Amino acid sequence: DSWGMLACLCTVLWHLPAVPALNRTGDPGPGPSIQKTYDLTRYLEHQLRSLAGTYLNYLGPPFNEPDFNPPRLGAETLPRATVNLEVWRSLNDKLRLTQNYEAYSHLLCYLRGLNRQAATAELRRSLAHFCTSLQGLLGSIAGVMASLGYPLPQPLPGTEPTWAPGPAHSDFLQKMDDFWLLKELQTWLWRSAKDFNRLKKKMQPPAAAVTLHLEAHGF
Amino acid sequence: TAVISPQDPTLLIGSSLQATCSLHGDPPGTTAEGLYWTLNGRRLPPELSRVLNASTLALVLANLNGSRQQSGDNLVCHARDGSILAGSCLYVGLPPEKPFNISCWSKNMKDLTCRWTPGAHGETFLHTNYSLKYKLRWYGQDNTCEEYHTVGPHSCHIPKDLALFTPYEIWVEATNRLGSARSDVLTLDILDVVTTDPPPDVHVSRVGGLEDQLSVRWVSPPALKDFLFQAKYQIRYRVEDSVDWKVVDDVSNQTSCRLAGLKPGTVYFVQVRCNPFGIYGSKKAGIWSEWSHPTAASTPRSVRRELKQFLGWLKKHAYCSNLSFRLYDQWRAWMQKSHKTRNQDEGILPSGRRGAARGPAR
Repeated sequence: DSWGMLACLCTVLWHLPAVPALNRTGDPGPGPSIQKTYDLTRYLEHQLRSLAGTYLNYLGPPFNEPDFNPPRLGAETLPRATVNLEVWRSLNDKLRLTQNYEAYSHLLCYLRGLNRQAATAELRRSLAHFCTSLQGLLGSIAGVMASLGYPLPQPLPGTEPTWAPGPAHSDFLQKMDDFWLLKELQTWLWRSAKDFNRLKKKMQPPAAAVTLHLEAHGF
Repeated sequence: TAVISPQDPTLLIGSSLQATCSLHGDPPGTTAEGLYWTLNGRRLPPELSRVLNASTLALVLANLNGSRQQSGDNLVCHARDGSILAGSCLYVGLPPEKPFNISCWSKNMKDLTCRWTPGAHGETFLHTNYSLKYKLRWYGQDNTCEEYHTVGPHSCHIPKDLALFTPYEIWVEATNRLGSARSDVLTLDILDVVTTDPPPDVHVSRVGGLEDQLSVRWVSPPALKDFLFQAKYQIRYRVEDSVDWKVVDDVSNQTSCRLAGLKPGTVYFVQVRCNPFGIYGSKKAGIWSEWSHPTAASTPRSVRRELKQFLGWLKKHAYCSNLSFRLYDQWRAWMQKSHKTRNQDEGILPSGRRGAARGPAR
């Protein structure tokens, strides 16, 4: 009976807007890209371990000694990963992602400026490879921010991080700055893994909501 | 904090250094007493230091060794509690020696790859920068090679803009903090140093049942057709456990060769390389390519010989002294005859083919 079929079709079509999840069947949400970003931080952490080991050996003792803790002079401008636990917990998603994005932008810039003329060709290659991977991480974070609708932080004019060695910037001071750059990178990667793990857990519930809707309408 | 003087000095191996650590703007009361030096993380003996005045600690290091790392030795002035007040990087080494042994080759007549050997000493303690330079012999402008480390640490690759039929002058300049050195000039024409990749697809196989021969086949390098030159080849082979290669030299234009006089039942490693010649009609040869990857093959085992050895062993152990080699030969002759008549009936095997590879039924 064609009228009956048309009536049935109309009912179906009328009910469709009430199930918003169906509109997004092709969109998996930010979940997979958050997972990817998390995986990237772990990979970078692994890569950094061997890069830092080689680099610190190149700087020579005492830089490659386990408890080495020099004064943190020029490295004042480095983005600090360590933060009060309560402050960290209470960060909203947008701020959490923005802090990560800004930190790695700065760190990447400093890494690129690590102009160690005397470093071996192999070390220069490892550094370049790490920079490329770090750029990948930045892209990944940007992707997550875009999928959640957050704007990417724009660098303010005049606050571009420049590696500006003062007139008395000696080679030894440069070595100390290099040491802190690597240390801070390491700390940021540890922290980012926790940041993205937290985001991952927050993003999981929506999948359950879709099935609930479908059951209610008898589809 | 403090300041070390001199800051990041460069010194010759064996020379001496006098350094000072001067306190700056510290809270009054801090004196040079109690300060100490470390070099590369190791505390220096107190007899090398001297307090010059209330705010200055001096150090004398004699007969310096070459730097432990190319980034410089770390000389640090510490406060009494061990914290770092100041540091200075010491660069101790030797000026570079003349690089030598420059060799160059071209794979496609458009590019050039060169390799050199660094002069002996100065190179390890201080970072030494190498620069390969080249220019056309009679037109002045110097060019610098840009792509380094292509075939090892002391190599460079010039990818394009090279002229043919005209000589180039090539040399290497080595520079470090203590000075520089220049190699002798090498003069060459690109067409004289052409080489190719080794011949691909080298196959080594047995020649039927022949126990002392192996057949080697390969493909001529593809560049041959692209660049219209001929190639001559060289084969070398050795027994598995030996280091002595035998070389077969006059393998002019063919792409196959048969090795003879080999030991039966032995594994051989074989390699082939090629040399382009007749480039653009010249009579000169180019440069030999690398050897191809070793290909292995084994000659067939000599059943007769092995049986002889077996019987000899048997006789020694006096198990069956009735057996003799003559008996084996008689058996083989009988086998061949019955094989022949059988196969002439069936018309399968060509007559005269040795059935030795088949051997007695196992």
